[in-house]
Amino acid sequence: MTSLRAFFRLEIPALAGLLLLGSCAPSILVKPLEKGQHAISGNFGGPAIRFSGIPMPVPLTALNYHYGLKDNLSLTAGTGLTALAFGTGQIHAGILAGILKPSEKQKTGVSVSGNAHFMLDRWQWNFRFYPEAGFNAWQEFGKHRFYAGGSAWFETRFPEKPRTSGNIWLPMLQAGWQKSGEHWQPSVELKWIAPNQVAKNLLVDYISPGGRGVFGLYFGLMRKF
Amino acid sequence: MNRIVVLLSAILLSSCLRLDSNLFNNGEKISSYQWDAFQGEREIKELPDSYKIPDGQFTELSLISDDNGNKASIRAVYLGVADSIANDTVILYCHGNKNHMDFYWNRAKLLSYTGGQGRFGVMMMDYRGYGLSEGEPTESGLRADVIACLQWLKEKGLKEGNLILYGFSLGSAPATRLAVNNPVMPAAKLILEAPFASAQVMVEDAAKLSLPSSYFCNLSLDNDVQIQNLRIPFCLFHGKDDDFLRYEAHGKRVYEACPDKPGKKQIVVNGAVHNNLPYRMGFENYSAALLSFITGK
Repeated sequence: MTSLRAFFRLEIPALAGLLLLGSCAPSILVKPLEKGQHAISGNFGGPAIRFSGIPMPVPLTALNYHYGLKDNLSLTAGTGLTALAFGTGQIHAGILAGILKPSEKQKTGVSVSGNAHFMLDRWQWNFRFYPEAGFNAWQEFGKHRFYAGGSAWFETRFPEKPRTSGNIWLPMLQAGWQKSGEHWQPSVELKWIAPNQVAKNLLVDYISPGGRGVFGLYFGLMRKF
Repeated sequence: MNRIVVLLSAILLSSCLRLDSNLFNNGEKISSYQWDAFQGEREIKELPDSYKIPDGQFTELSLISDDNGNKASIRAVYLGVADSIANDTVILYCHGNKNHMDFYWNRAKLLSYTGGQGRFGVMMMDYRGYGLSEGEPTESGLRADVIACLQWLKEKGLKEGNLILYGFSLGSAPATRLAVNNPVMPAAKLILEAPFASAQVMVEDAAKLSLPSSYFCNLSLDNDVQIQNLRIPFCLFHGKDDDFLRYEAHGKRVYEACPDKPGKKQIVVNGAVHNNLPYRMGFENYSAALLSFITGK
């Protein structure tokens, strides 16, 4: 019980960091859908911390909708449920484009994505917008798809006197696995969030390589229609 | 689709999760204050035996704190001769967000030895919801609880110009506000140790992007704004390696926001983290720095 209480006693900055980092969702869609295809997906997971010595991802969730506009172009829209529970509406919309023209035999591909993240809270009606860009390279082995890539969120506010570091971007590197089934597509992704940031002097015991950035672990499930 | 939109909108509008209460780490419950006999964790783990409080220079208090009608009985302690407060200078110490007065007891004793034992009176309190103080901690309650102590000091005859406000970490919020605007009596000097700049800075420093603090909490903590109106001498202590409130993000910002004038100084201690500054600095050096600031010599 004490441990549970302690978990929920993580301090404000740490939790705030977790919630933002949690909003950096996994790459549920790395290969474009077929033209006219619909899909919904959910993901669960977040930055990895050690709690009472046990490595665990912070449980954060999001829901997404995907649509195949063309064979090599898909649209995505979604919302962060954890942010919603805090009274902050967070929606994102974006596009995923396959660089290589897909074919029946295609087992390798590269995709690029662009997303716009919009946030608005109901307490003070503060609005924020962050663009995100990313890419993934993927390879299929039977019904298993493995991928790796990178992405970044970008700052859009540049005050004359920045309150903190004046950081302008939040890069991420990711690698993952997806089952490339007909309808259901489970996935797991490991993400290295903000490797350009020193992850020290925060109260949470982040799991980070060399004290830089934070590892994130995400589980996803997509249903194609 | 419409149902989903309605559902998500309903969640947004009815959501009530906030991190405000996470500001207060008052979970450790006690049945009585143990002072020197306390066996639990302390902010200053070990203080030499020579730092003793003589008989007759220790007063436990129970005060009524009124936060806009929300009254609570809070506990406080005064180190010094209570009957001679009218002739003394008093350091009012506002402790951090963790635990209770037993945790900070060694700090209070150390302060009472500034310039020699008993040269200054020292008062500290447990905010509502901390230690044996009743109620639940709130941002406005912090200020009300410190005001309750100020009223007691005033009733005991403390003279204007003889009050030193000292805020550590969370305690920097009520200390700064009351140093700028004090309804009971003006403070002569303000000391902040490891203060936070604001809730906004706390969020931005962790998130690394310009997220508003309103996404997570409703706190209006804003030392970096309040201190712009400070008109009394100010001294900042901050650990260079603070592992909770980074000096560069918080202490430095507060210090730079304070108007430049004689009596403004900062002491940044290499190797000190959030809660070991006196130890890292050396107790005698720490006391000497305090004495120098308070006396202006």
